Amino acid sequence: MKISLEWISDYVDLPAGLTAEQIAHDLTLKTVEVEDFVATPAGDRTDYILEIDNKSLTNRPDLWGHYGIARELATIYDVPLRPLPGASLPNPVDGLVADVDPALCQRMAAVNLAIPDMPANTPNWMRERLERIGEASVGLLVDLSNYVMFTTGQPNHVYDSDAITLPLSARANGATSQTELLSGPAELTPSTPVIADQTGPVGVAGIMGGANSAVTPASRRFLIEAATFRPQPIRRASQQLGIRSEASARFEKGLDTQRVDQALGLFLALLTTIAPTTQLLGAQDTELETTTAAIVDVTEDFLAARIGTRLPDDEVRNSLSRLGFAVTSDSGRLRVIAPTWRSTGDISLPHDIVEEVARIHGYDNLPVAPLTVSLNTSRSLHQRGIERRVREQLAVRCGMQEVVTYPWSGDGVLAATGWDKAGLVQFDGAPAPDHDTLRPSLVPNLLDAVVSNLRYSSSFSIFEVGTVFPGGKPTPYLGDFEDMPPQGKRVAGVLVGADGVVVFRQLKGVVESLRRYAHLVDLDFAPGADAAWADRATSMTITAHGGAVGALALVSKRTRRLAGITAEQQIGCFELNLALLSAHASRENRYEKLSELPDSEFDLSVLLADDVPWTQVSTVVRGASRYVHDVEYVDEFRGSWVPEGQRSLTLRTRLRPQDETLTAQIISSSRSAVLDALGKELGARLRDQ
Amino acid sequence: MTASPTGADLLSQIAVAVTEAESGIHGAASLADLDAARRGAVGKTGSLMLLRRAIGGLDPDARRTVGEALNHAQRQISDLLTSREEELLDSEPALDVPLDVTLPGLPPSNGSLHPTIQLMYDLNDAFAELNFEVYEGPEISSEALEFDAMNFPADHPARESMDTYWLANSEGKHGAERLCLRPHLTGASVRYMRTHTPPFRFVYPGRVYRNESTDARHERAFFQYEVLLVDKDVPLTAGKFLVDTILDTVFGHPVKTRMRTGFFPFVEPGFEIDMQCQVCGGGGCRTCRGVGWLEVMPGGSPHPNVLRAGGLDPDQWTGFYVNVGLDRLVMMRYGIDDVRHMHSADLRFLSQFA
Repeated sequence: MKISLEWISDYVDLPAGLTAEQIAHDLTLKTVEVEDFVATPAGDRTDYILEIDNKSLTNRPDLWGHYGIARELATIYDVPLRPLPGASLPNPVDGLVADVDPALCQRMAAVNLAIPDMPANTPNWMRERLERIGEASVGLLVDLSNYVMFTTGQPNHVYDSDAITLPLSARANGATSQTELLSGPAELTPSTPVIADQTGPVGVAGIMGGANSAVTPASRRFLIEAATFRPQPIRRASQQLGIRSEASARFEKGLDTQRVDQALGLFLALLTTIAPTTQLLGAQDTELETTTAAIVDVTEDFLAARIGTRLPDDEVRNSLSRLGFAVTSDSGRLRVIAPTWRSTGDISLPHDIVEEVARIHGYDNLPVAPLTVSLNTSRSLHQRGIERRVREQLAVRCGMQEVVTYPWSGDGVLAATGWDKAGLVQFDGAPAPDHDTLRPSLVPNLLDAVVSNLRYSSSFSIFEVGTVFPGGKPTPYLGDFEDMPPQGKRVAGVLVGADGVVVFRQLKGVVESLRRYAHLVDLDFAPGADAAWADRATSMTITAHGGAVGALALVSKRTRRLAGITAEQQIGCFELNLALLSAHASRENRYEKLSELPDSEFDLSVLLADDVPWTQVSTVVRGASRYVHDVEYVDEFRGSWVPEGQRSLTLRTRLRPQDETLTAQIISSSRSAVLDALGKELGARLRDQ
Repeated sequence: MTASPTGADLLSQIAVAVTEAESGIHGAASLADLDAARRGAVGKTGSLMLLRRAIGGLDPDARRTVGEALNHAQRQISDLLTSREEELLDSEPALDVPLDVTLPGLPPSNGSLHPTIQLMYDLNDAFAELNFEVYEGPEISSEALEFDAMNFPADHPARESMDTYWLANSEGKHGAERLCLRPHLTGASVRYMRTHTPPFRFVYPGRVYRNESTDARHERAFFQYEVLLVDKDVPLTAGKFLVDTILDTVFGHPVKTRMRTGFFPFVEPGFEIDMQCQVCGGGGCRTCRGVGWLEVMPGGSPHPNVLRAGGLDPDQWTGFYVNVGLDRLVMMRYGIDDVRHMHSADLRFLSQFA
């Protein structure tokens, strides 16, 4: 909304020397956000037009006109506010207003008049003011109607009385019909609120006048209508018709019925001055529900506690009365009667009075209260949580890059990772028709991220922590709030590299490290996984507390193909359900006493069948001698000299002394024991040297 | 046979040996040279050792004199060897191949957290020092929590599909049965209120969703950081303290702010909190559209209806909300000019923030 400071000067004399910039700043801090101000020539002077952010006016129907802003400025600068020019309505007559639907309208008033000697033009001062706030001049009566609205905030409408068949009604249309509005043709539904004459709709109530009843240069007899429409029917009709007008914007905020008097009074006062031949033929006023002033009781103590400081009594009363509130007090209790223009929903609570007093004082002028920290147990230190530890472990120690992707996935990558869209959660208004499914897993979007990053990089590792929506039966959230589909936090990581064995083992190392560094109570692996994207031969189920908590695998060739991954690289992937993991409340591992005697280690290379897993080798070696402390996988080899179905496995055995130094004899006999056990239990034999 | 050397002979031979050793030591250009000099002088067959063997034939007085001279010479040479050895060690490189010290270092790890998550943790840590708990609400929520409990009027435009992503098949449903991707975090505050006993102070960061078209400044999915403090008699100005905590954490220095009146259904009174533009320092520039201030966060006291929805008595409890768009602060922190990078998963972008 645009506000002209020159227009404002009709109602308030602002302190000399005050700049437009200062006014914009003060209004922004205390009342509404002024987005910009522009100097505009106004005759031989300069006017400043303030551009006010309409969003900051949504709760202030009183500010949708110059007079409301003038009242705020008079309060902010503590200067007098002049009354608006007014005039009383002509004699009451019948036959102007018929039915008024109380669900649509609280008050409807109409004035019938004639102007035998019509002035040729709108006065320059009025035309220029309207033009400076962006309103083109149309003709005297329409300009006057606009001028009154931009002054008081009360929309009103002028009909050519000869083009309508009185009386007028305000009601729902009751049928589907086409009509020609000033804005163009419109389809009215049975519920569309209309102003109708005896022949049918002559305009959409509170939104737009009809083309057929509009004033023309030839019009001499007029009906001026000003009404108080209720906000909800106007907002709904405006949305349904797709028409937002200056009038609908104001009615949607909720106007007081008293403003009709203000608007008609200003209209008639200006009109009779500009067009002295005006004949006022009569008025009809149907008032069904008068806006009542809101009364708020509040104590001085409440004001002081909420504001954080006790403002002087005089200041409180002065600010409120300048804003139009009536204040009476009795030993620390204030009874505040709001003006009707603030009583349509804006003011109703003691908190609203706090705001009025504090904003006029200036929030920036209030002392800042530091917070007192009490040493109680309101915060659980253990809740820092697995999620943050996991994130930091993956990023900092494992060198993976965290990414954030949308919570929805495309149909294509969902199908590629084995998800049937039908069982998942969809939402309306999706960014694209094939992206209306909430992700059931983090893997699909990570694969999309792999595709896009493969354009720039050949090996990389990424991870994401986020909420997934796997579908399933809705259950009460937190016990009793709402029934909601399952949703939970997961972590997933992807590693891209040239060598599949390395990729798999590195990724497994990443997941293994989470147990130690995120201090998880349990985390282990079992061969095979049922994730659809997992390559069967290189997959593992991640387990904890006796159940599956995730999967780790190379991405299957089928998923790669369907996900559009054409690169040669191998892709390893894991996903873990964070909700199923638990962390130790503190450290749980036990200190191991340090030996004063040195360890010893030896390497062995043995030929071993391919189907003997490392875990068996490790178990057998550890059980072979009481001196074996640890066994480490070094590498393995398959080549021309290694028989088919076997591999040459190199392992490193670490011996730890018990009570005496490890002698050459102990080492030698331990080595024999290990070889014996490997041979007997696993069919391994020492590789020929 | 030749006559046994006299004490005087030996003394002069010692002097010669010392002189030779000195020049050998000084002339040593490497540790190997020095070792040869050491062997020539004080080794088993070195000159001083050979002279020491000759002492046996001297009379006791001469033996003592020559012995002392030998000991002295040996100490002298030993000291010289030590100091020359240190000189040589100082001048010898640790590597026997050349090293270009200007080569880039080998990174221990290339990973990092997403810049928004980094800021979230920075803020969590800052608020932890003020005894704020970290809380988290669900991403799918309901009209009941996100709008009804938030004091939004029944016909508020934000309830329409144009602003909020409603789950499919929500038409005709209301309240707890009408589910959506949460459009803001504030509903989570009511969940917290219903399950905790006041007073309390907590932060609840997370991602929220709005149905709008994306451009360099708008995203459909973005992170917010919200803080709620509930206690007896929390004054309006407590909010300023919370805001200062946030901005100080983000920018590493105090940032000038201003509180002005603002309207949101769930607060009364409500505020807009502006920060001085960090690009121009308040002088006015393109970023701040010439006004020197940037709107960074709304806030305010929970509306009594919101406290009631949370099961709290508004006559007894007061509070303060502060909500900030986390991505926007991240953009200001690093000078990022396009919010769409945040969800791009583009490593060329993400790897810039450690």
